Amino acid sequence: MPRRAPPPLAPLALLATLAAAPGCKVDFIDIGAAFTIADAAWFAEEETLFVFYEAEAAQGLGADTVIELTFTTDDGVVDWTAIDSFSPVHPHVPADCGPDRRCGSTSLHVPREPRDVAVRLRYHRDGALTLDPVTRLNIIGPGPAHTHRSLLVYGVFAEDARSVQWRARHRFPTLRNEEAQRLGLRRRFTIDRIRPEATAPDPEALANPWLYGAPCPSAPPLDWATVDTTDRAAFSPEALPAAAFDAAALCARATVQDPTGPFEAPAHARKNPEVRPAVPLRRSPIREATPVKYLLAICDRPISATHRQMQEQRLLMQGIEPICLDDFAAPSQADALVDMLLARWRRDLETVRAGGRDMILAAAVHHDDRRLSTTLERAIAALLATENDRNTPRLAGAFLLDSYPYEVTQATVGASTIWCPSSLDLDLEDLDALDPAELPASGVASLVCALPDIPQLRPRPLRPRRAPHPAQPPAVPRLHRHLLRRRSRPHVRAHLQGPRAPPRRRTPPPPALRPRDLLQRRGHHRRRRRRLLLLLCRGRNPKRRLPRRRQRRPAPRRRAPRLARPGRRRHVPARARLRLPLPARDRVRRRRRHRRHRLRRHPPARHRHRRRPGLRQHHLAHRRVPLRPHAHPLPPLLRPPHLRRRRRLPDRRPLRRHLPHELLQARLPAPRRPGVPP
Amino acid sequence: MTPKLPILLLIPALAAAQPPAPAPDPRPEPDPALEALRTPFEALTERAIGRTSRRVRYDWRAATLEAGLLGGLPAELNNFDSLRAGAFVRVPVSGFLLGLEATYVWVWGSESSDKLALTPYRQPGRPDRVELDATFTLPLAEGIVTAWPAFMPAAQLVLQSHAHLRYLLYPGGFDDLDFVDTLRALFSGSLTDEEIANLEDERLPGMQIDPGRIAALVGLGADLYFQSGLFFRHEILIAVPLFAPLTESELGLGLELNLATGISF
Repeated sequence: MPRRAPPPLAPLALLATLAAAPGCKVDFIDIGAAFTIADAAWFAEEETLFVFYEAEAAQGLGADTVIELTFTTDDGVVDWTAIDSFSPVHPHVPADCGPDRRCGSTSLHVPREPRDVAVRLRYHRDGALTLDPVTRLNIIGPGPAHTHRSLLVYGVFAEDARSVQWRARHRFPTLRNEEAQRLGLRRRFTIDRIRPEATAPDPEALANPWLYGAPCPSAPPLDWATVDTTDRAAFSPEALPAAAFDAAALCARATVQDPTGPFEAPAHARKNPEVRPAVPLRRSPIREATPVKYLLAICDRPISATHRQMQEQRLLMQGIEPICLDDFAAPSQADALVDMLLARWRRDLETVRAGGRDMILAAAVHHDDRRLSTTLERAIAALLATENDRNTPRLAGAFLLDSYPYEVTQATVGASTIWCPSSLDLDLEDLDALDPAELPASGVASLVCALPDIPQLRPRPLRPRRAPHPAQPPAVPRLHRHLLRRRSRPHVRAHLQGPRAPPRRRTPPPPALRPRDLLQRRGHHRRRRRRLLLLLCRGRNPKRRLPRRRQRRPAPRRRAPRLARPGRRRHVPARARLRLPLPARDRVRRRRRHRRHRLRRHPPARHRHRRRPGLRQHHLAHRRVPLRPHAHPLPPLLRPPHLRRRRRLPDRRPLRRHLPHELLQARLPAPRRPGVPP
Repeated sequence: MTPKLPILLLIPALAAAQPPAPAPDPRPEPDPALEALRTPFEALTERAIGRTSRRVRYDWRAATLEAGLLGGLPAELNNFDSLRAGAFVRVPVSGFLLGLEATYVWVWGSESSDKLALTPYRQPGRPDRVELDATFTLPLAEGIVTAWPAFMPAAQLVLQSHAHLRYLLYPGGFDDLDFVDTLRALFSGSLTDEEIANLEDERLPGMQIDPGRIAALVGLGADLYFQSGLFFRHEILIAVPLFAPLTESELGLGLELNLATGISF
């Protein structure tokens, strides 16, 4: 047997390798360095030049990369010098901005106003290539301390108003306090001569929110220790003495170190304002009433279980004991019904009233006598007449879920009662003609709260849906379709349905196959080739019927042999060759194809009898059970019309081959009862 | 006991009694359908000769284990130099060899990389590392050869093809990583940002750390076995960027020359 040619994997792997290889030599990669911060600020009063920088790059800013600074003053030109080479006048800690960043700051004593201040990055200490950003320079001249100095000092009280924390705040034109702190700048300040002050200066009047530099009163200082720190904030270790509880603030002398010497300015710590609720007590005018529920129903005879179930469900009164109205159905018993309901309701209201909340009478009326509603209105009117004169807690109103619409006649009842019908006697077409002014007091509410019964869910058989036609309007909801089908005006139908979709064209049936087409199919081609092969080998009559092959289960279709068959190449998408993830649509198709393939090879148990019907028939015949358990016991002519159609049985040939001759003659013996002789 | 003797005595008698049958045709009609399945006698002879002509000086296929030391010169196509040394073990399995290698690679810069460090450009490379290789060796041809000088005994030469799956382990890359992050990094195809940050101090000037963690190499080599089991090996491997789309490696192709010696048990 000739060996099949292996797939050309080696050339494909070589091509894939060459395609994946960017080149023989490894390329140079630009590190992409850039400055994110390159700022400088010079404060005239402090004679200090502050420089902040931050540069980033993708793997390239190592220890040999340096940041350089240059500036010019009237005293001379400071050429490009590594920033690390300068001696800062303030503490600067190394800043860690990440592995691919370089950031920091410095402060220099520059007595005269600088100009041409620039920062640059030299890629290597010994290299000549630099990265020159645009450096922003800000000059801050002399002025008030809280606006023209680089550091403010203020204090804040703790929550207990006894401890004070003194804080320093960097103040730069282009950087926030946190950024200056992150870039390594630290300032040293000292707090001493702390003394209370009865009234704190007004920050708004001084336009000084931190009150830095505002004068301190001449009061004796507290016996507190001096606070000296380079941190951003530090607590005074002492607590506020009792004698200073009434003080509104504390004032201290804050000393900041400058290149020119210590700078002293008052720093204030104001107490936290005492706050209290603007509204001492909030009252809500809306309070939920306690529902007192009743189910008034006809108990002796059933009217509609579904309707009653709906009423109980809507008013949340499942399991409640009903008040039977059977004995009061006669018109002569109307007064007795009113008296009975009044006695029951008043008794229950007094019990619930002890809870201190208003009440609402919620009643579901399940009946089929429209005259009963009039009697109920009389009872409610009598109940409300006494309850309206009471103060809270009282009966605030009533809600009745009636089986029929009812028009309340008494004004006192209509003002505080919602008489909700289960259905409306109005047509939708009559709604437009309805005048709201003519409605009774509870008419609008009755129309709004009309509730239908609970519909019975009847699942219909599943069927695939087609995609809507592009020209077809969106689907009309089922309720609208129902209403439109029953009664509606033509213009409403046209508005909801929109323009009609064009008639759908039917796809023409495929042309009939010719014999040549049949021969070109795979099976015919294979059989013809086999016949010709036998003819060549044995020299016999090709028209002789070939011996029947042994029946066996067809082998599952595999792809690999089809791939290797000469003269036939299976198309493999490029995405599959490159092992790229398939789109979601293709994945779903592949999953379905695999599922169908798996079902063909390993069908589930409930489907196996379809593949081997003979065995099943044989098995069932020996067990003497009806051949078709699902068959109707009556003959087809006596069955209902929808059951007359006989189910098509599978092929009988396997049955004839497997069953013995006696069974074939007897066809299907009638099922016998055990113990009864045939 | 079956009585065979009477039967044997009856056969000549029956043969003498029957008339002589016509002689069969010595050359039956050939079946043309079997022509495609016939194999010439010359081809069968050649195959037999090829199979039986393999002389064995040392049967490495019968060995249990091979172990040894190796050194190599990896030549990544960048401006950094490397040298590797380590140990290996191999096991003969069904006519081929499966093995494991563990080597340490020293990397240093060159004058070109130093000059490159003065510029804003960097070149992908790998700092000092440990390389773990899973090797597959397939013998292609072998035979007995004589060695020079003359006092050297004859040896068995095996020409082999190699395939290596390499896992790179950077010792300092897992600093400051917790257990979960370390596990995640170990099973990641490329170096994590934390590892690259940790390796910043190990990075040579002008080097950009290549994020690839696994690599594939293929090549050819030869083993020279002596009768005692001592063997020498050399191999030339080509690093193929099969995993480059997965590992984001930018090194591409590369060469590697390895020399090894060991003993086969």
